[in-house]
Amino acid sequence: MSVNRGIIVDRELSSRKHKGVNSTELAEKIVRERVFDSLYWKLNCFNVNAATILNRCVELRCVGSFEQSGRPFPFLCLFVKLIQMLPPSEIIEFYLQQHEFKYLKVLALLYVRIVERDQDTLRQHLSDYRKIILFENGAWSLTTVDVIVDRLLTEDFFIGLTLPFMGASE
Amino acid sequence: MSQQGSFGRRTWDRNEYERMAHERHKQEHQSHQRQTGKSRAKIIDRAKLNFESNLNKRQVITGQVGGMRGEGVGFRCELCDLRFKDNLKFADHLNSPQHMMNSGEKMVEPATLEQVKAVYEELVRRKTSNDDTQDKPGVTDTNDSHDEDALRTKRAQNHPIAKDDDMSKALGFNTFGSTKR
Repeated sequence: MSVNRGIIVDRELSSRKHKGVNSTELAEKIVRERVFDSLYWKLNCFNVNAATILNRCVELRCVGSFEQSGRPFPFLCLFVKLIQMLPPSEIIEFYLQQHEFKYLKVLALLYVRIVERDQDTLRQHLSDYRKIILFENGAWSLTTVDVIVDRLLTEDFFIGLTLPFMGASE
Repeated sequence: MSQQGSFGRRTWDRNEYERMAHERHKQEHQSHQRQTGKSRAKIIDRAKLNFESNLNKRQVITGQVGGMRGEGVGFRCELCDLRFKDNLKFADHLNSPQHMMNSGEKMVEPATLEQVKAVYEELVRRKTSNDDTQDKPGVTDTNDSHDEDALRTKRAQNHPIAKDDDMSKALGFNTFGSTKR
């Protein structure tokens, strides 16, 4: 006898909550759904933890959300995985403080902006001038880590993701 | 195991039933392993799957075309004896509880900071060793540049304007594109 489970509204819900919200829901519904349907998610983001996901994070070569075809970039998939896992803040701090892999650092910066919403942590990284390849609004561009931090601090959108309210800057 | 209580209701010895359930689970697990012969865990590294290895190749498929079992067209999970027509469905199957049970793969525990640091150190070590090996071909690169110099002089020698001819020097070219000499 099959059990009627009803209509599945949200897939891949996390076991953890962030400020009363299921942490997976920190990413918008439309973004999540497209990520969960992608092959990269199914192959690389299943059954990983904050340590094993590093193997994929160091392979990142660009920052972006979706390709023109609608396929999500690995950067976005790994970001959704991070907010789903919601690792302890000391691990995110470790991601930020390491200097070997710059795309891992950008990933952690975006995490801090969307989940922890800590301006002071972001400001500490305004003196990092390493180059970053960025895909946004259908075009490739070259930018730097400090420009991305500045955008995270001042703007409302980044690579098509809505950045939540962070409080007035000093 | 069950007794009549003072009100005529039956009561059960929970510890006794728990022990029996535990034994039954153990027996079922052993018999399952014996049936399938899969006591060894065969965990597939999902990140290393290459769906494009057979791209643009022709294969002769013998055996049945329809159905989900046995050899045939598509992606096959040998462990569960299932075939899938596209890689997304195949990836879904690899992540399914059914496949996880057959392969003996366990869900990972959340990582601690020490584990993260250990993986990070290993990755840094691998990266630096890769950089070292990439420096070595640089030696041959200089040889290539020598070859390029040689090629450039050769090209200059073959260049049409380089020919000693007053007319060609004045005009800047020496033929009208004809191959006749």
